Amino acid sequence: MSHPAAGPPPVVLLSALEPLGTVLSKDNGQSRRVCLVPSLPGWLYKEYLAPLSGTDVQRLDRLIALPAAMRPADRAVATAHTSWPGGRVTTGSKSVGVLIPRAPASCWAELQLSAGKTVSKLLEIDILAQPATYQAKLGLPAQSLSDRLKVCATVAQAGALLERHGVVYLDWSYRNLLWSAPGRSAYVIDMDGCSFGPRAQIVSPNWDDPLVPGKQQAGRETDRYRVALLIGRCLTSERGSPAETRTALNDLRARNSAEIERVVELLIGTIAAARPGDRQPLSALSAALDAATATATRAGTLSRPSGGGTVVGIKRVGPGTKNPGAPPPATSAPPPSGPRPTTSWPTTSQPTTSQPTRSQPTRSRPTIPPSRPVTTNPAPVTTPFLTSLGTASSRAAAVTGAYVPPATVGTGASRPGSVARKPSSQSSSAPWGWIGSVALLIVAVVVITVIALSL
Amino acid sequence: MEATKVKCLPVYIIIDTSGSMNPFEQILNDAIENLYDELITRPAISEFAHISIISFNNDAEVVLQMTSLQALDSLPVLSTGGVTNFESVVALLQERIYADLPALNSSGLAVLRPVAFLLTDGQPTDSEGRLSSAWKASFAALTDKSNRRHPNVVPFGYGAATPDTIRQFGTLPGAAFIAEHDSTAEALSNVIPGLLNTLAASAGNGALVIPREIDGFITVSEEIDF
Repeated sequence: MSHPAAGPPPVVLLSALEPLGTVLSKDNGQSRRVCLVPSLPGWLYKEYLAPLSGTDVQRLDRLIALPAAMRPADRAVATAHTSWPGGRVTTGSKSVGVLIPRAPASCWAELQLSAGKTVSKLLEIDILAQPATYQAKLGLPAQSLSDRLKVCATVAQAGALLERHGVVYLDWSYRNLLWSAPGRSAYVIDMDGCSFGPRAQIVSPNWDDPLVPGKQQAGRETDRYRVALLIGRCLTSERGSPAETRTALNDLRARNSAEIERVVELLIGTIAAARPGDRQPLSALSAALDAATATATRAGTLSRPSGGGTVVGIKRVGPGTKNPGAPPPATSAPPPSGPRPTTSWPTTSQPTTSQPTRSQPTRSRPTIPPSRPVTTNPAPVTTPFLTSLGTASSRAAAVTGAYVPPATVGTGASRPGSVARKPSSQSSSAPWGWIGSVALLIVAVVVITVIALSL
Repeated sequence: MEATKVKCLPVYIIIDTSGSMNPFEQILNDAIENLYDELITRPAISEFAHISIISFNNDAEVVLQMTSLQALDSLPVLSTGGVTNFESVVALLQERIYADLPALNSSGLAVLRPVAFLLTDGQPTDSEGRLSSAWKASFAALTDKSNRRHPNVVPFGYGAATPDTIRQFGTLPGAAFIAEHDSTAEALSNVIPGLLNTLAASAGNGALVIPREIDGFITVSEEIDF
């Protein structure tokens, strides 16, 4: 993801930005409005409900200036994965707002709605932290564990960056991070409220820090907790209580690599820590996720956690659809009993035209669109060595979670994230001789390792 | 110490589908679709606000049981006609509260006090269409604070609904709304965004939060009882 090409000055007059463009939102949280700035392509103007106080002005100025002092690698993370404020907006006497970069185009997605409608929306990480079936329902590619790891790795990178520079965010939650499905990365928004050091705890239902409750000062320890909880929920799609997320993470640990185990260990350790100081720095989590992501890319697809959210295929429902081995369709509410129903309520197995009980025009029932066949984002095979050998390449292709043909969806035979039982389509063409023997031996070791990981 | 249960808000959307709504049947159904479409793309709201839809005219019925939006594969289609038998709504709402709340609780959720959003364009009648106050006694019993599971009721009135009528339905100060303009179509197109803002604000706070202002509606102020 890239930052807008030309940044604004650190302080800018509101009058210099006018005329402002389309209002994208209004009366939303702490902002009166957020609108486009035609004179600054790629930037948004966020106007506060009330002008900033003196200390807030200093804080915001310090935040705006910080990226220039970062080393290039950190600045790249800030640019790619955060909506880092670019300029404070004043009327001359009052600081009334801030300039923030627009979310990257890759965070937009076309979502399927009811009755065949679609909508283009910014993708909140809320939807990443859902089972694959939910994602498919919206017309999105089902996210494998590998995909989730990659996105979560960027969440941890952003968190580690902030921690490294003494910036406290606190407001980690589903609505404050966007997600790019094709880019497999996250983007943190609402950065302009960050502080340097602890400040009043943010009350955020279902993200409550049990060790730092409301009305206390909260700092990096709460950031560590909320980042861990968010990542845990994204990896497992277990969105319940922290205890439930921990259980789902434990299940993940039992079925995957040593690198995943390290990630889970850090996540659980942070979520369940008895004292704030026991929570590990986000740099450790970031490093663990980077390692796990690299392993997932090299070794292929990883198994998904069991429990709620493991169904990764769905079936089209409706008349005339043949789905051998399909799971039973979700049951709708039963037809209303009693006299004179006011609704038409066919079940999903019936034709979708309504059954009026009085002289009303017949209306077809708006259906939730069936999802596309479940596919994963095809993972490139990055190891040239493996692709040079017939048997290994076909096995590698099978285990990287590449496109799963519709015929296999829902049968349980293959899922994104699991080893596909696709028959090898190529025979080995390795030459004989000692080179070939060594190559075959290495291939066999890799294959055996992959099989062991998938069990 | 670890954070406890996830909170949920049981939400009943009660929709008047009496004969006066005939011209707006399409708008009503579109509104339900729009509500679904917004909530399905914002799962954090829908996992907090568990929604059930009740329609009523001659009688009341549940057209959408309290269920996860993820499990839905179709939406109800409402048809309109008949009278505005509000007494049937009160009875059904009580029945559903007593069924749904224990079910939510047993699924491990921390269940907040339910809220019923009432959307109506007229005045309560009996089953024969005569203006009636018969609903008042059962409504008072349902919403009495001594009833452990009493719901909050937030009414939205439009069309022939009067401020006095709407005021009688509201149980929270400052949380009863009447359409600003005469157009029922306009009111219906405003009510869903208003509901969504309410649900979004509530999800963000982990509690029922009613916006002070809702586009297209004005607040019906409390009447002081001298």
